[in-house]
Amino acid sequence: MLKVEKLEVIYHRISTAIQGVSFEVAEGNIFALIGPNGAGKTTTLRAISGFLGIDNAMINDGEIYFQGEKINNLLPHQISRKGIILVPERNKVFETLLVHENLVILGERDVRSKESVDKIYEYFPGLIARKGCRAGFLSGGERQMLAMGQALMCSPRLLLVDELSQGLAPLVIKHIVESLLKMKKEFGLTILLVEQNAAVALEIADYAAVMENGRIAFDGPPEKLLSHEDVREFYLGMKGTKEKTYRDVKQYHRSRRWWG
Amino acid sequence: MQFLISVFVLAAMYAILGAGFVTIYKASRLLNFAYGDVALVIAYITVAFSKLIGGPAILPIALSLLFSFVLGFLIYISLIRPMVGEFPVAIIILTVALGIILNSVTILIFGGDLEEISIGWRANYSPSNKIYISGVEIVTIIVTIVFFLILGAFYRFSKVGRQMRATAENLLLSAQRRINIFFITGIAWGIGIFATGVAGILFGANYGVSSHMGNVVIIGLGVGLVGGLDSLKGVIPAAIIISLAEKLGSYYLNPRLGETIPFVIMLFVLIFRPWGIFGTQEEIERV
Amino acid sequence: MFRKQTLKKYPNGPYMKASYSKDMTISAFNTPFRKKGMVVGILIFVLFPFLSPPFFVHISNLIAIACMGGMALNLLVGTAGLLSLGHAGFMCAGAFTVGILTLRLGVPIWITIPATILVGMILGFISSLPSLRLKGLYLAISTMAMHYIIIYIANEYQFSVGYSYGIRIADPSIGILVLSDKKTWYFFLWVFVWLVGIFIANLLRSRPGRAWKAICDRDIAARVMGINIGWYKVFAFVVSTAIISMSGGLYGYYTNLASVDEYSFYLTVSYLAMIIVGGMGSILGSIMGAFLITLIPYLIIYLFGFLQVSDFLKSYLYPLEASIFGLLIIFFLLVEPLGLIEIWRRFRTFFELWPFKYRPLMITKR
Repeated sequence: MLKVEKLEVIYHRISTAIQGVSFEVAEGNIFALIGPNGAGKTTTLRAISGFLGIDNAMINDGEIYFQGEKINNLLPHQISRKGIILVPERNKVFETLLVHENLVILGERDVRSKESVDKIYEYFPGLIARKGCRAGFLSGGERQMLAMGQALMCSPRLLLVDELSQGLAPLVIKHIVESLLKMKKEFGLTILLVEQNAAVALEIADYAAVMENGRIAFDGPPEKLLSHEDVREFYLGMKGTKEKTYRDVKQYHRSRRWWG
Repeated sequence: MQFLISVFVLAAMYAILGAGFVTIYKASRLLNFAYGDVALVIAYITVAFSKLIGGPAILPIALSLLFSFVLGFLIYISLIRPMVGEFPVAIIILTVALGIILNSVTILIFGGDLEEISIGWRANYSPSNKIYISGVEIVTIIVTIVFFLILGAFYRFSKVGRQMRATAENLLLSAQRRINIFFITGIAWGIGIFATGVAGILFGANYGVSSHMGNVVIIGLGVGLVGGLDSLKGVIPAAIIISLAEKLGSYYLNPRLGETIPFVIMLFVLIFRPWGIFGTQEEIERV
Repeated sequence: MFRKQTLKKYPNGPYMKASYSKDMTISAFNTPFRKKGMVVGILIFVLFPFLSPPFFVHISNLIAIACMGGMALNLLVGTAGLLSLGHAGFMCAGAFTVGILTLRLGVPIWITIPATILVGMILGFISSLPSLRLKGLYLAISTMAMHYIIIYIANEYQFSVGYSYGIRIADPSIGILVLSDKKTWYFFLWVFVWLVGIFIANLLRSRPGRAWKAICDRDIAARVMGINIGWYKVFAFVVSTAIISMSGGLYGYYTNLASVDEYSFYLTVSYLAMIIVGGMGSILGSIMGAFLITLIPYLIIYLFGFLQVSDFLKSYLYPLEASIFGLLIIFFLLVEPLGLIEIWRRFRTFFELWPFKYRPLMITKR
């Protein structure tokens, strides 16, 4: 459904953020991108949803294909009308609007599936109590629920979720992830998930990739990643079977091991 | 009683002036520093239309209001949209530069003479002894009330109004939510300049059009500030308070002092309650 | 390869510094090329007033005063992020201080200039108080109110004392040197500009400058780090308005006049245009901006004369000049909002990185 080929994104005309990134997201799958801070995961999502101009960034090379169509240089609202909806990391909701207004921003009914907004309240019953509240006053978990509900009302085909679990308590994460999977099944969504919390991501993913320093270091089905000892050590926090010295752990050695 | 009527007429005038600022602020979180000059242009264009076309007074007025809506859209597309995300200082300078250009071009084309806008209702009414009100003043009050009712309902209840508020708050997010941000903000600016046009025409009808119109505009800014820059419903009480204070001051104290009272109120509000009567408090981060 | 050699040969050169204190010093002349360039520059500077017509010297004096005001404003608006629309008011205050002191008390220049600095500091302190509560547009409105208050007071004074076109200021004299000739003013003013520039550059590179940049970006984070934002905001205003006021005083001395008509809101706008067109937050940017904006009206007049426009058009000179000025600003803002200095930086980066185009990622090669 989404194919990214050799993408290269540059900030401020001098600094390369991602280079040579290629991956493919099949329809109906959950694709997880994990990696440390500054790896370029959010930049990838922004490049796909068309947001680079604002930050003085540009796609220098490479193509992005959505269902066969090239979407490199479209305007953001054109891309979102094709069905690619991004749930950002920060500023996820409209803070001065009420919760209910946030959800019905495009109308009471979803454009494509004709579902009414009550469906969202079914998924996230916690929002019903906060219906008339300004969105700026919600807690982190409620905000994430509202953001996902809002994204769902825009009839998405491909949902880009940036940092689903950032700043949330484990139980709240569990609830949101369950609702996400339910939504995916009911509406037939494809999800591209960017996560720092690799455990959560690898649990629900159908395919995953590790990004480091602007490149995809390693990809494969989650079993492959979960069994790879470096992924276990650096992203899942599980100690390896071998005792490693400091030299083994230095990043460039790790990079060499992965790409060699 | 005559006093009350003059207060209400002045309040209506101030409310319309304030609405011009508030609508642009609601559209793009900007202060339109070219406000007086835009109102000047629209007023002179109305005069030109009425001289060229003639006919019932409503015709040139409607034409120039249509023109002002389109002008707002054009200003947005050509100037504001390319400056998305730049420093607020840069955008302020941009609007000031636009104001300078509009001002000088208007003077070039139309000259700076005093002109009059007729709204076709020259009658003077006198319901009882000692009370005078002219047709122009009645129209001013009615137009103001209708304008605020319609616009307020539009922003609060309609889908487009909601999208406008969302776009003004968070441009990126609304683009990611299938809202055509350029179109919506263009319409918002169209409404804003439309409000400016209404203010300019009413002002011209009441006091005459001349090249010094821009000086009263700062009171419009004060009214918008006192009521809350992002609140349309705050403009009305603010306008009433300011016009009442000014009239009281100039009546009982000193006419020149009366003119400075709006500024005093404005400063007072800035110090103690910067977000105005009905503005959203989160807008202004306090240190 | 070239860069490695350069790094070895010039350990404190433009790319790398050998110690922290070396990093903080203002060292603009650390390569032989720059040293040679400085010599040439000083030669041009000294010879300029003797080799060019007095009108050009006059323009360069105006540019010098604009540079001073521009650098100070850039400190306030560009580095510290405190939007201030009160520039013309502060300059007016400086000019009027000079006017009142020389007229009433006959005070010589080496007292009046510190007096303008003192007046500027007091006004700056008062103007800084709203910034402790307000931000952005609201702060701009309150500084605008400050501007109108100062202009109102000055206006009342000017008319009540009877000087309908302004207070006449005599040429100042320092010892035996009388500052009346344009050439003398040239050297006097540009030395002042240099001093102000070094002072501001120093401030920007040390603790206050870093604190201001932090406050500009995210003041809550700065507060959490321990920066006292109230103190630094007041400090920014006080320093900036003191320099602006001084430049106003010098302007009054130079034009021998202190009059309210010169200090309109339009002056504030042109100074803001200077720092925006030049580049916010950088000293070189303010200087470039000051050059461009001061020259534009003269260029337009020259162009009118050169193209031999009809007299009819000439009668509309002011509105035409204003509209061309406005158009130029708008054009500049749309094409390069980061200012002239961004153009300069791109130019410089092109030559620094050539034949590469972009800085590579920090990935070690195998």
